[in-house]
Amino acid sequence: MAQAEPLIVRQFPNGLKWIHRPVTHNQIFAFNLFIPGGSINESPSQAGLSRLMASTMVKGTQSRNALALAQELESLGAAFNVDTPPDALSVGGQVVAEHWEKTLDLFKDVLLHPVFPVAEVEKERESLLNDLKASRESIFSVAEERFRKEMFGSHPYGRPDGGTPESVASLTAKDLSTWYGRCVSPRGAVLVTVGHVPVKALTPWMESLAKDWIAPALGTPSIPPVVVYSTQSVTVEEPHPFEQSFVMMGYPAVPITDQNYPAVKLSNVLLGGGMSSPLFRVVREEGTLAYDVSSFYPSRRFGSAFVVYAGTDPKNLLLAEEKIKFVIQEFLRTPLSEEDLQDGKNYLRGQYLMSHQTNSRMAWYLGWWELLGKGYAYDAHYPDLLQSLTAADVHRVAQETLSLPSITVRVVPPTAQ
Amino acid sequence: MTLLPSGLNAGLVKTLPNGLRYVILEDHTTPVVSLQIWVRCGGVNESGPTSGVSHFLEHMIFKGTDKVSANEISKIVESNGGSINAATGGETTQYHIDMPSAQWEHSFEILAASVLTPSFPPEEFEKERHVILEEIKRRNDDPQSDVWDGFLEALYTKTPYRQRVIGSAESVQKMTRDLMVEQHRLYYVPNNMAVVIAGDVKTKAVEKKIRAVFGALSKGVLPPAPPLIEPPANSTDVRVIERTAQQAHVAVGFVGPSLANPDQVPMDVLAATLGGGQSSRLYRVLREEKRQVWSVSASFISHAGSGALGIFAECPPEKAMSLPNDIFFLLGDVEFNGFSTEEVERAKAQLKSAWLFSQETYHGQAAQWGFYTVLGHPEVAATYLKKLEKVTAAELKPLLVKYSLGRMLTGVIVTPSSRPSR
Repeated sequence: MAQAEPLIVRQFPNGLKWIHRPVTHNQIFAFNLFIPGGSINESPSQAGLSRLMASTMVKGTQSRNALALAQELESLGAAFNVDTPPDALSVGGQVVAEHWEKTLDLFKDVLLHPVFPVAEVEKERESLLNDLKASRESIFSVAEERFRKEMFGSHPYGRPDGGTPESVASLTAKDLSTWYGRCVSPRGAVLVTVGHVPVKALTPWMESLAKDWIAPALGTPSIPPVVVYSTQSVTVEEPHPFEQSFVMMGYPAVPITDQNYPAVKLSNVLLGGGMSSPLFRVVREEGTLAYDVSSFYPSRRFGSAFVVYAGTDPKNLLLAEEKIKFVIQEFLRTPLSEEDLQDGKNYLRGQYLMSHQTNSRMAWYLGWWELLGKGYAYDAHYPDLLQSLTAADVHRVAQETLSLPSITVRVVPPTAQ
Repeated sequence: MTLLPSGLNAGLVKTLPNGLRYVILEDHTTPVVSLQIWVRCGGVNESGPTSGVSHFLEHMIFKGTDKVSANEISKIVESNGGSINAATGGETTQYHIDMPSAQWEHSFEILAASVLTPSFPPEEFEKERHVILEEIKRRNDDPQSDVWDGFLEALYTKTPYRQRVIGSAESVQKMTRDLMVEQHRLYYVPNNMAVVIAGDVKTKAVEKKIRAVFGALSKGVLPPAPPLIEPPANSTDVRVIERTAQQAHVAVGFVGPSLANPDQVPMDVLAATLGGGQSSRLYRVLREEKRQVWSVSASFISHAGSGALGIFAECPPEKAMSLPNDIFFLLGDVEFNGFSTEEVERAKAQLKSAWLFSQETYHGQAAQWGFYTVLGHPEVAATYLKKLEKVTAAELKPLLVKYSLGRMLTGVIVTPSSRPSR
């Protein structure tokens, strides 16, 4: 196997951290900037501000309008990817390595000199409003939106990342510009580059960015309060005209900064990851109740949830729910064997390894761990941390998590209420 | 490892005496491997009562062999850190295991045994029927399913590319194990398959294993190939489907060249120039200038037979009915004035990048080779970038004229109904 070259890490005086992973086995250059905060700092009446701001940032700068930006970028075979998960603003891209400098120059322009033209804001608003509507076409999205609302309440995690139709409709170009001025700061920001570009060439470029990117006078908006979970289990119905029904059941779970984070990840996979998991076997293979059945546990900075779900025929919804509860109870009741434990570790480690094949994913992981407070080196340590977990650790953490009050959302056709 | 000038893996491509084609892409960058078996069997090999049989068969392949049960198959793969999955399309079915490379041999044996000698337990067949019916409901809930199905049904009036790969609730309810076993007997023969292995493996060891597993199999006698060249359209046909949806979806296009035709790569460039990015003609005019759509794109769909150039848009319902006409006039401008060199070079740059990005994973590499190899054209995977480089702006206008036949657009509009249609 090709040996990974050591990372290059620089902390600049303006607060920006740059991490570079040299890669020589392909001709691709990938980069990803993470800025802390974003939708998590929004007020309810301005929910969606980060998403709208981020998508409009790339639609015009002081020297280039949207078309010019698109033409220059696409002539290089590049594109920007903008994402606004709750804990961060992420802007990244990838390109054939020979065009790295021109691509980064365009990136610097949109990062430092966006102008938020009113006409572009309107187009992006329409697009975002449409995205919010389009998410209602997906039964999973409908379930997840309601689940987040019930699980996280008034905390920003309880809102859709793109806001609501009402909040998005009220945003103005001035709001975007003001938000940009407060949030897009190098303080705490992480820029990761991965690719076949000599460090000697990259370093001056990064130094120039660090010199030109000045932290705004106004501080980043305040950190939101901790998540307050419900003290009682709650079941809600969400009527919606789908052919299928859907059940999404979840429990409060620790944030990524908690020492039990790897154990929760592993227990989530042991319960519902892969076709050999008990959830898949019992609900789909043996019960034939669902095509879509699985579990997930998002990595979040302030609090998360351990979630299982299944899509099924409306007449089987309650049965599917009972089967899920049965699987969970059996999982808690039965001591974890060393064989099952190692199988789960192998599966998680294997998936982690495979998800590190592309430059863009390598860049994402390094930046994501750094941003969420684990440090970029966690990327290399994480598989070893998983390996070090004992059956007792995992079972204890599963017990603690899965005996907390749960939230259950049932998406049902209106006639089935 | 032999590299193409682009730096990509050229691959070892061979054929056994019984017709099995195999491709080995040795690369030791990451200790991971993608094991793929492709079968030339899909929706085009079905009709009437067998609608959905290839997909049903795909579901049943991992339900066990004489030696291992369904649960054992997934457990062996996943306990070694791998994932196992499959997918059925109009012309192909592919099965794959992606995993850390250490235990590849055993997993390959299991994959091959599952594909070649599945036991199809009758009780599992009945269970899987229910799972597929749930998959159909899940699919029905997504407006995109009507967009895709409607587009193909409108475009392909004579060839079986119009077939719904998943079948219908009715055909799946009536499916029999015998029909499925027969589909397997007919199509899962070595001369109708391709094996592709990419990643951290030694070519010699892989060749030895492939020969050991597949070498003794007998060539099969395949049924006559279905007609796959669509006759030219003689009218415009844009159908309207009303259903539960939040927005309108429009999909229109025209039939294009087959995989063997040298127009294949230029059609890719035509599609990308029309609608491949935010500086493309469709995006610029329909979204940015006229604000008729929220999103719009174009792509060329490759088939062994007639391919298709499709234009896909999402828009407010009140703008959907006039959109095909707006696209018609936009194409008219291209027919009259052509594209600039800059437009075309941008499209080519994007296609080149997309191709290179898709090769970053071993799964991506193997999938490219698998698709083209099982359809009889492995050379496409090896020569794509070279051919892309040679496409000029001047050849795109005549290409549009040749295949759109006066811009006769066919397709579907899926629009929200005031009452749910399901």
